[in-house]
Amino acid sequence: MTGINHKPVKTMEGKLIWESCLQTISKDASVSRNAFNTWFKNTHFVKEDDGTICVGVPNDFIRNWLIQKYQKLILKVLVEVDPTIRSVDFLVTKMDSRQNEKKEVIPSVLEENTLPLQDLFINKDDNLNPKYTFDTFIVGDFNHLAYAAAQAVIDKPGINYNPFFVYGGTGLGKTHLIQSIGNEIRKRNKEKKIYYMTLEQFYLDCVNAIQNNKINLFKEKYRKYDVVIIDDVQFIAKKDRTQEELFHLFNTLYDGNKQIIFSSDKHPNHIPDLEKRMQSRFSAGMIVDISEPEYESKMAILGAKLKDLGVEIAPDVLDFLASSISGSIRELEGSLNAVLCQTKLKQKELTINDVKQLVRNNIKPKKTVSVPEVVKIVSLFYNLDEGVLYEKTRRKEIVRARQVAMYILREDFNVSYPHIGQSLGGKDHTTVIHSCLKIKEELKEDQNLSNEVEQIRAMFK
Amino acid sequence: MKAKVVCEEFKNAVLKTERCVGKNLSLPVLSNILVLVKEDGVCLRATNLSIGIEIKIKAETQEEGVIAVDPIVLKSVLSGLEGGMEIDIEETEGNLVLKTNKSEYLIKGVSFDDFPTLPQKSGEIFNIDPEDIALGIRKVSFSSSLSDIKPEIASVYIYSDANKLIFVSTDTFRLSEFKIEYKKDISFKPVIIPIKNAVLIEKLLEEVSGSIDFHNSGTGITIIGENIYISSRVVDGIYPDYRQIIPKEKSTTAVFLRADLSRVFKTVSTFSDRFNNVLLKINKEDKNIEIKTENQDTGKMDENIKASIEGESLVVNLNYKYIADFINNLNSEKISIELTTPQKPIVFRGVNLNNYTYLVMPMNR
Repeated sequence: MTGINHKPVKTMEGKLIWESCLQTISKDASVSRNAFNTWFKNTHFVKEDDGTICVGVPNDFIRNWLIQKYQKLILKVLVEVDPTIRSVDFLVTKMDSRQNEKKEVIPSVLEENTLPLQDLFINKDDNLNPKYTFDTFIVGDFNHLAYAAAQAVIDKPGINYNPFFVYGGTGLGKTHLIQSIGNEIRKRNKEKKIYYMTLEQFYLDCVNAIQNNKINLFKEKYRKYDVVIIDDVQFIAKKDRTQEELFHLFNTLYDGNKQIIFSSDKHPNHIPDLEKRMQSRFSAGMIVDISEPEYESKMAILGAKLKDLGVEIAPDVLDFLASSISGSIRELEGSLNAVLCQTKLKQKELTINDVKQLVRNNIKPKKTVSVPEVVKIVSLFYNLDEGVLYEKTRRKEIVRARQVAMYILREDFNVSYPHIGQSLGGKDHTTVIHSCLKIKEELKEDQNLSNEVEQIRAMFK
Repeated sequence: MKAKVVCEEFKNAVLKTERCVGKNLSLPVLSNILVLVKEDGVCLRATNLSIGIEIKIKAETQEEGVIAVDPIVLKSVLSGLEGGMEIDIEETEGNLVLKTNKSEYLIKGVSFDDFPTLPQKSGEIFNIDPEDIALGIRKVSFSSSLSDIKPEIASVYIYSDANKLIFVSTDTFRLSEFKIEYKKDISFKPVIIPIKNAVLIEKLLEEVSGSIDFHNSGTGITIIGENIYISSRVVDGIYPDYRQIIPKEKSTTAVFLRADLSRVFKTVSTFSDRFNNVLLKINKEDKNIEIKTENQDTGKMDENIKASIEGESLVVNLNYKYIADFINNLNSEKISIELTTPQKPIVFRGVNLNNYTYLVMPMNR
């Protein structure tokens, strides 16, 4: 090889060279479009070594034919693009683009019904995932009540707090909590028949039963359990028949002193299109909410996760993650995983700046919301017409709602006092300040009010 | 080109070659077969760029040459001719002319400039009886996955362990493993052959006599026999470590006659539901296996077959088609099944046949 003037071609350049070469070939008169699609389309640049360009091809057939028929042409075109190239070589490799292709999994009838050969994680008798236990459940201020209530449920299933209704935003550990209850009850009493399902499963089952005229079997199916856990029950909205079936199931189980556990992302009163009779039944037992974890809890969660994985991370990075990522625990774990993965890839500790860069996308931008949106939600909450909040009226219930709207606009979304006043019926900014202070003061004493505000806040998510 | 061939041989070669013809590809020439007349015989070639084949037959060559023709036309012409006859094949103006003493056919030829050659042999050589490869593939190929989503399991996996050549295939709901034992230790480089190609190879090797050279370059395999040359793509990937899922313990073993089960299965299809679900109830006390199935539209059945049972009584649901596939391939009059729990795979074997193992996952309801 006479590689005197030769400089190594970098991967990017190599890709460009091969691409321009392909373009020239596709226009070449001796290569038909069909031939190009068959022989050239799935080729890609692999490496360049001492003047030899190495091209990846999908299989031996193509390699063989490219060598036999097109090698001269390819080399000619390559030399035109880059005169330092001396020869070309073909390698059978897996296509890069192929690996990246997203392949949709089409579940067949069989796949739904037969167990896959891999060892199963989910227990088929109760549908619970054994990885959810209280050992891995971090208790903090944000979920203390939920945890305590769950323990009471475990002690006397069906007697304390029936039904048990957990609600809270996404990724805060509702599923973890209710599945842990199931696992724990089973651990303590093997005799108890437990079943966990998502509402969607229940709904699909119901639809199938109606389709196949097996509604009686369906009714029987769930009534034999001692503990029934239904996740994401908010999806029941607008499914009238499912609501009816759930209603009957609920009554049967409840009368038999069987424990029923629900989770939802909203308070039962705020699940849209929920029939009154369901609403009152959901509210009959214990309703607890899981709010967002505070800083200490987030640190504890991260710590537990790290311990579980058996790795360590610099304290300042942990601190950054816990303080900057707001909202769900799922996102928190996601960011932690991203950090761990990068550390592994780069084989060195990440600095705080790297981490900032990395989780930039995971940090939610400050929420922005328009005044009418807030007004809409608040008026919806208080069952008022949207318009009346803008009116100049001193009717008590309207004044209260308006004050809450002002408070939320100010506290959560940082809208300026004058702007709030202007938007809500041309009030002076001092009126707004007064309203906010008033609500703030009342919040300290009035538990009802603080619940209301919390619930309204939940509706923004 | 001009040559004289025996009709029967020519027809057989066309039938075999035609299996590898490519369809619906962007290169239309691949839907043809290439007829090459050489000094030492006539060679037929076809490929779909995943598998390619060349079959050689004896011929009296007068003039060498090449032509590509549509195999369907060629096949229909040859099937109309008497087997023992000799045919003159000749090219005139780009068309193929077949002449016997009674008849003459002209088949339109196609431009063959773009007709590819097959990859050259390369890589490690393994000399083997073609019947072994065909047998191994036949015994396991039915349980392979057919979807392209996971190419590594839409395949037959062949590897060697000490003195055994082992064939495996699975679709994640069932798995079959077949071992061929040799007198000496062998070293066969592991290969994952795509299922479509594996089935073709099995069919093509069935009638090959003598021994074949199995070349494996890691990116492709080439099989060279006396008059046959097959080249196939392989799957670039890692086969799942399936040995982990073969259960090591068992709580129940049942042995029964294959004939009994076959008899029951003839009617099972009438009464099984759309999931092909049957219930097997292994009764230790009654020394039998109860086979139950129910279909909303047709009714239900309940059959008993005698069995000798060790261990506990057990109930499992499974897809009867999976079992039927296995018993069709088994050369043993007695079948043994081993079970652990209703959630673990069920192991099927022929009694006294340790080289053939079949695993089926039970159904979950």
